Amino acid sequence: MAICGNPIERPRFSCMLGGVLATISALPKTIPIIHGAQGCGGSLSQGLMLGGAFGTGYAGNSAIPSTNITESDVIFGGEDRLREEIQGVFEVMKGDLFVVTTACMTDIIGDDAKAVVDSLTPLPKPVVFLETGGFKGNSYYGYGRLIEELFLQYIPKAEKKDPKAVNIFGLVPGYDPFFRGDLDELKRLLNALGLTVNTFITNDQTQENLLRAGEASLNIMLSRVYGVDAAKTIKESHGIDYFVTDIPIGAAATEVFIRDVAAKLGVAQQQTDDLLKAEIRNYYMYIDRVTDIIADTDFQNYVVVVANATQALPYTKYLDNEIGWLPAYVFITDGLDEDQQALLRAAFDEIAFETKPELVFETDTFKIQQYIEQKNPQFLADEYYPTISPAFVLGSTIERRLAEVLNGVFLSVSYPIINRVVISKGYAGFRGGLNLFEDLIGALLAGR
Amino acid sequence: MAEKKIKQIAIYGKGGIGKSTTTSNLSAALSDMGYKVMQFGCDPKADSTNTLRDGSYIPTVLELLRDKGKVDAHEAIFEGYNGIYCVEAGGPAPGVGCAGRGIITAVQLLKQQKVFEELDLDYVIYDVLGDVVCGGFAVPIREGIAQHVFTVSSSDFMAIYAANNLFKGIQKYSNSGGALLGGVIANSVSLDSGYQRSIIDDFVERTKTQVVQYVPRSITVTQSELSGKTTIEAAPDSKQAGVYRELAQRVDEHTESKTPNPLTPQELREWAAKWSDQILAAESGEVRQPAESI
Repeated sequence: MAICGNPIERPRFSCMLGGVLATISALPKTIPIIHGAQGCGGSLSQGLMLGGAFGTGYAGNSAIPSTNITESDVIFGGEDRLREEIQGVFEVMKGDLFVVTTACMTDIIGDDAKAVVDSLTPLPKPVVFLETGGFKGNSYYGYGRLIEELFLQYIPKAEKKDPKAVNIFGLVPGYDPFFRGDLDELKRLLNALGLTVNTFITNDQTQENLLRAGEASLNIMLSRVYGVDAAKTIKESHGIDYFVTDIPIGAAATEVFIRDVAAKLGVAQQQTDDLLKAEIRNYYMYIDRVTDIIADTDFQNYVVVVANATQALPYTKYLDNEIGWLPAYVFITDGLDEDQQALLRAAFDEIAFETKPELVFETDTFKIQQYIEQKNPQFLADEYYPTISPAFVLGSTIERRLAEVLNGVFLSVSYPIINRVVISKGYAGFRGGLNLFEDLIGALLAGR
Repeated sequence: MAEKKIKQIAIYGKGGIGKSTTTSNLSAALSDMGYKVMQFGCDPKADSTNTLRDGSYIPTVLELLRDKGKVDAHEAIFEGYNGIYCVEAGGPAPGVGCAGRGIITAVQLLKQQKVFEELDLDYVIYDVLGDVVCGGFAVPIREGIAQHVFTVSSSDFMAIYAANNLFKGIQKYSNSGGALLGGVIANSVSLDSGYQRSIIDDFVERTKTQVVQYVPRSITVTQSELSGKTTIEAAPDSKQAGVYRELAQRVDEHTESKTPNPLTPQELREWAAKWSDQILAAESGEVRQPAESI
């Protein structure tokens, strides 16, 4: 069947409420209360399954309390229904923190959900309120807004900072599918430097991490665009400085990351050197043993990277700087505004590539394929043109088709991932760099 | 036997311009002509049909929906003057909910239950809040509801601004089978003073429509309304009742509505400024015609 010019596109993110629900589902004993129609919570929770089968969580999916408003609530206003729902939730749900979120309809009709929450105060447990009409932005935007409101409404300000405590932000549960493994690894490394680390959304975290987040001396932002506005707000409200960087993947990037953070926190040079020496030695001892098969494999590949604004550049940098592959195209798939695009382009231009790939901002899967076909001579008639071959595609599961067109190999790393489950694996840090190497070579060998 | 075609008319206009007064008198006059008429108030204030029912309010479709969850349309239909069926859509209290969605729900509810056909109506007249602030208030002019739209306007600039906005709505839906414009009902127009009538005449010419009737300001209307009645009912022999009967006659004879040509915001501003200058000049006695024309 021929592909028509304007196929219905497959989603690479959901709405603001989707990002907020995903994040809440990963926060310790935190329960959302949706003021919206019955479809919102259920559908958006199903969307999390596309993040490498990132499932329900403590009070997610069909366990999410929702006002499930009807037509009558839309016409006459749904504030009474919300009041009733919040009171009901406290009777039947056990949580440490509750977040009242809204949806498109309730925001359009102008229900004053904050006034409802205020009118019920004091409530038995802390309640944070956030307007999350899906039309306000995508899931990544929702993540950033939630972080901001958690600080403004819930996390106490601390006059006295802990000079060795940091918070890590930027990865959105589910929509950055390897967030748990990535954060676990970075936490492990920073702990080894003697730092206390709050990740908020990994398995080891409790409400204590949230409540002590105000004592941190540095917010580490692992995304150049998502959560950065929150970091600016937190700097003003809680006096915590922030450091915007990329997810470090592999030995080279992770060494730079560790040294940057260590310098900002005043970690002793010797301690940093000792840690890095041990980690780098370990890393390359693993690499050393696998070089035999690399020598035997058609190893160096042209790569097309298709990922979100947080992941695309770190993956590309790893492929070029760390393992010597040849990135040909980088597609960043989020709907970014011009300022965000300029910011990422500037970061991209700073990467020292052996061969500089082309950076393209495009969400549409078909147009991504079309772009390569039209730009690349291998799809033209003349067989003497150079080709993107052998090709490797790092993208979402949607990019499987692109890999077929390029006659290449495929590894899913970005949302949506439906062809494998993601549990504890991460690609950040030293261990993550090895994981990615393992998966890349594994994919090349999978057909044997 | 061929199915009877119900003539469905929507009357729009800026709030307070005299829509409900005009609509109720139109309904009363059409009813007197022997037609079976329903007047459907599409304003959350729910006071469109008051003067057809001796000044009394009726339960609205949306009140019934809120209280009972499900509405049999017959429960929302009340008979008024000369057997006119009166319905009020109703809506939320000011400042909450979505009145536009309320209008959509109420109109669709009656349409779905096929009460117009069942009551063998000749006319359904929608009296709609005229600023068309959202899609809900445009529902009577969308496909499948009203066929003809009339707008009530005085010569005040804000009333004309609202009428022009309505024309934009009509133009937008005109390609998808929406209602077209029958014309303007010029209300509160002094027939003695030249410029009020000239302003409206100029506006309809610029927007390629017509004036269906000039309705002068009249104390008879006020007296009738204060007694909870239409002029047709309270003062059937008055001159003003004659004006409304003439309006009903013209609406009844009207068959072909058209797509209007609304002015752009810039055109409307320039048009208003031109009239402002002319009125000022007229009131200060400035002579604007060339000397030879005097």
